[in-house]
Amino acid sequence: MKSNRFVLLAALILLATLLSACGGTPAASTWPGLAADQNAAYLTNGSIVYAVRLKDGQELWRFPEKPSTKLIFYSNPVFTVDGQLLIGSSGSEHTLFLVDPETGKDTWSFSDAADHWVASPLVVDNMIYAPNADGYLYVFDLLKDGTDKFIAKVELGGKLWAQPVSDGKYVYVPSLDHHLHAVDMKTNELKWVADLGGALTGAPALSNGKLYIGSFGETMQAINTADGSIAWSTPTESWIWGGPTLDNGILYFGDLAGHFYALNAADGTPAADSTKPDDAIIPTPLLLNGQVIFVTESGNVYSLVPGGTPQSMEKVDGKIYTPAVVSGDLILVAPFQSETHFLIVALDPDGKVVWSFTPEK
Amino acid sequence: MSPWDFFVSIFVNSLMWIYNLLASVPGAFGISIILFTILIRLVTWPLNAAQLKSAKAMQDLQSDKEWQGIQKKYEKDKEKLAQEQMRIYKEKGINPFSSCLPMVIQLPVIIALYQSITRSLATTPLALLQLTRTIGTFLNVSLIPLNSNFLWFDLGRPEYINLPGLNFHLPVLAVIVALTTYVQTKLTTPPSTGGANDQSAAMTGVMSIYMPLLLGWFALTFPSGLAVYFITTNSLGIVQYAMMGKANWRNLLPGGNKPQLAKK
Repeated sequence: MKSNRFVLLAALILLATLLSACGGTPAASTWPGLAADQNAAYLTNGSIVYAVRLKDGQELWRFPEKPSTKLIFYSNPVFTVDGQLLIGSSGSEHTLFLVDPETGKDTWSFSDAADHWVASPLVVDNMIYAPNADGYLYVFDLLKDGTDKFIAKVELGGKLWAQPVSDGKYVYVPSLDHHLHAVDMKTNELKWVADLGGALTGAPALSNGKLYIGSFGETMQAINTADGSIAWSTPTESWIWGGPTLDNGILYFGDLAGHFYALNAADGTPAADSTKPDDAIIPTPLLLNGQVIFVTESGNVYSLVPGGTPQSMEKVDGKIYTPAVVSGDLILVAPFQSETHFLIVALDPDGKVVWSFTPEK
Repeated sequence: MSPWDFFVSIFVNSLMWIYNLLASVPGAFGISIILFTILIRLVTWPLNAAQLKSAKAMQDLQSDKEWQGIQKKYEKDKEKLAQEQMRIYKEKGINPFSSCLPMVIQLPVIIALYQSITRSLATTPLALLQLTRTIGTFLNVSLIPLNSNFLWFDLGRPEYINLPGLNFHLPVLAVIVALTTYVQTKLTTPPSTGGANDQSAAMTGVMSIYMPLLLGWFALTFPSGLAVYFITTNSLGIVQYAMMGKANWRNLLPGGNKPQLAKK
């Protein structure tokens, strides 16, 4: 009888484990987030945030000291004006932390949001505009103390997974529910909403009264900041995940089928023929020394001189979904599911590996 | 794409297709989960029926006078008892594996259904990216992301309500999942024969405690879309058992499972 009970209990535990593994959101259930200042790179990866010295790739600290399954980090950290790190959790505890980059200790936290912090917050002077997957934009004033930092939450709707942008008067917030919102920074009230016909997962680029944003609706669109009207719309071959990078009036971005585009920001016409390097292009490209740097899902890092064709710089082990970042002369990429367990690879401007970071257990 | 992922993608696309038909209806994804669960239950109805029928035959055997006599007679001779057990199975046309086989066949279907719900909800960027690669071209891209609001809750998050005067969250769905699981388990529990070897009733007694707690915990922890699935499938299980005339309603009453005399 006892053995039967034991077998039954073991079967239930097995079922629980199986179902948990099948459908839950375990640690590192999505790709990591990455940011860097002049001293260190900060990687959000599952239940741990790593600080890694840029000079030699050595680990400086981990946050939190004791990892918890309730705290899962994968949004890209951002820096406040006084250099602190803003990091949101997507675990069962939806906490937004301010972390001191020197010590790795949190100095403030906010846990009243109802869902995951997927998007990076936007920092405008001492104000923080933090979109949450619960559909609200949370507004904080860092000059205030403790709980008084929380100023307002603005209901926008949908899941807010993309970092907003601001022109100093309005904050523009994309939503997975296909809508782009303009929120007045003085009143925290909604100015306009534009339906762009597809989920919005990437941050818009902003210049001269226009927002440029791609969507799952297979279009790159220019939106007038004054009223949310569409200035132009250019179809693409596939869905667009990341935001575009704007340089000298040209928008650079990729799509999920692996095409890389260069469009004139003025009217959406091609500035060059689209290319298809090798695999899906998820994150936003970046600019370095007049070149456009972009990564593909297969782990390739490409550089593009405007007007030229993409040149492969390096192929790292693992898939790349995280936007690459630049600090000094280093290009930092964060591979996901790397067989060599690299979490960060640092490249020089020629694409040579300077160091790679694998955390010690 | 692995064979398993392909198998699950069929479920995901079926679920999304139903959602596509209902997209303009409020709570479309919740209704889609319910309809899809009903559909799967209908398809697997014969398997369930065979499993329930076989399980009932095994349970009935526990109250069989001849079998009780054999158990008593060969209490200390396990080898002979096993031989007699096989003989009586043969005589009564019972296949001990026929209650397990349908369950084994259904298990991949149940797990695929479970995974199709979590994959469709896509609560992380990686899950959303995978979903974009799973859905067929016959589906409208504007479906993504799904509108996960249903009744008073978000299917992508664990459900609870705040009641005035209570300083804690009340997980309504988790409670309903636990209750329906308890009812389903209890209804399928045979009346105890009171015998020393009444292992079947003891096993189901343990099941009636652990299963509601386990599934209740799942409902408490995972996206509430799964709780909707659990409640639907439990309710359909109860209905099917009742329609087969095999539900033991007495078990729901306090003391309803007291030992009864073997029928002559």
